[in-house]
This record gives sequence, structure tokens and C-alpha cells, in this order.
Amino acid sequence: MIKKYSNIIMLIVVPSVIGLLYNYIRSDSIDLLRETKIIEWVDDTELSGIFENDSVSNIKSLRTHQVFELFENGKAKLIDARDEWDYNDGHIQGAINLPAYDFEINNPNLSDLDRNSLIVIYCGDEECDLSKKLASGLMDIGFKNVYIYVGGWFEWLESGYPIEVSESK
Amino acid sequence: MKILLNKYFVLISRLILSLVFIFAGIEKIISPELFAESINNYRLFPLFTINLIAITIPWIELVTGICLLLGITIKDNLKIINSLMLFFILIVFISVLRGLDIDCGCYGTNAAQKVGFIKILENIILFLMGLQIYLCENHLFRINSK
Repeated sequence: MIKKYSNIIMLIVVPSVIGLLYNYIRSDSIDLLRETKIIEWVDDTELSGIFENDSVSNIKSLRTHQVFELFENGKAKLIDARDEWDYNDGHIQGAINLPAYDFEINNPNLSDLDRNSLIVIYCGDEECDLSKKLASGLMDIGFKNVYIYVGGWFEWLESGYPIEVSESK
Repeated sequence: MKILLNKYFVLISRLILSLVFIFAGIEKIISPELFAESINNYRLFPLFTINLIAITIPWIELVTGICLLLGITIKDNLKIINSLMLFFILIVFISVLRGLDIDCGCYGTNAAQKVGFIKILENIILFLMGLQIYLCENHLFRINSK
């Protein structure tokens, strides 16, 4: 009976094994068992002296009111990690666009950035991964003070904070 | 009915279906995280299984697509391909019923294809092509039609 199903079994097992092996060796591999992400928050008291976020393994996140505080006092550079169409449709006022999936070293927005400046990256909402991805990328190339804002565009919009829309080209 | 099983007609279906699977497989292999997120959007599977699905299914699509193209064990291959198509039809249908406005995750990143009746129709057509190939007894350019 096994012989009857051997083709089917091979056609399922062999590609699966190849997939697992390939995932193991590739640089952009994913975990075998997906887990919910644990967010590490920045305490309000730390806010005034943020300088030390250099652990790539767990990038700290800011809450909406903290991002707003930094927005008001102009101390942080806000970066929108979504693609340019989402960005153009609406973004946090003053934020620049660095699409996480189009990340290139010679992006003009990137070269304008001071590597020591305080960076806050956001994307759509809590579920979206782009901010973390971009944060890792920036830290890899020497940015020291990188934080993410998991509430993202969604929470900022809900809070009624300043936004802007790009002019259509 | 006989015309549907005409071997040239079947060959065309086989070409189309296999190329669709090969393309779909490759696109998903290229960006596993994105594919995993698409699967997650369906909210149908336990979180811990999602990456395993995202790692294995694209390769199954790719290998079965290639085998179909080359005509290797056509019938057994189609059992898998047609089962996959039925599965896709089912999950898209469930998502439409639940009113989910999500990307189907069919072809990886680029073509942002929404879940909806058109998608279901596309999948039904592919399934019917698979069925047509399965029912044909006399294949051209095959290595093993079993």
C-alpha cells in the first residue's frame, strides 16, 4: 500500500525538506515556530535621556504620547517605513519616507541623516513589521539611537495628531 | 466532452497550470516573511504553524509545478495540485464570508491580489484545468503519466 502512495509522499516530503534546508541556510530565514512579538517599552523617565538603544535583538518601542512629546520638541527624526504610496497618502507631519523593503545605502533621505540623531521609525500599526525591519537595517549601518513606534500611523491618526499628505506628482 | 480531453487542449492546460504553480512557488520562496504574514492574515491557523506552512508550501508548489511541466507522474502530481487548489478555494471563500479584506498571498509580494469572488473564480478555473488534465488518458510529452 505504501507503494501506491509513494509518489504522493515524495512530492510532499521532498519539497518540504528542501524548503526547510533552504530556510536554514538563507540569510533572510524565518523562525520555524512563529511567536508573537514581545515589545519592550521605554519608560517615560528615560525619555529625556535616550541615548543607549544599541541592542539589535530587542528594539525598544515608544508609546504615542512619548512620540508626540518628541515631535513637539523636535528632538527626534521621524521615519515612515511603509512604501511610498502609503506614505504619500498620509504620514506623520515632518516624517521622511524610507521604505523598509527598498532599503538602499545610497538613498538620499538616508545620507541626509546624522547617525547620532534620535530616530523613531513607524509603519502602519501594531501588526506591521516594517518598522522593526528598517530599525535593524539602520542599526546595522551605524545608527545608534533607533526606536520604533509600534502604534504607528494608525494610532497617530486616531489620536488626532498632526499629519500631512504628499502632493501628487 | 471529448473535445475537452483532446490531448492538445490538455497540453495547453498543463502548460498554464504548471507555469502558474512554478511562478507562485518562486515568488513565495523569495519572500517567506511576507508570505507568512499573508497566511497570518487569514486568521485560520495557529500562530506557531504559520512559518512552517510558509516554508514548505511554496516548495511543494514549485516541485509539483516542475513535475507537471515535464510530465512526471502526472496523475499523482495532480492529486496534490488539485487538493491544493481546493484548499485555496476554501480558504478564500471562508475569508470572503468573514468579510476579510486581505491580500490572498497567491503570488508573493508584487501583485497585490485581494481575496474576493474573482479570486475564487480564478482558482476554480485552475482547478477545472487540473481536473481536465487528470481525466485525460493520453498525454503528450510525458515521462510518466501515473
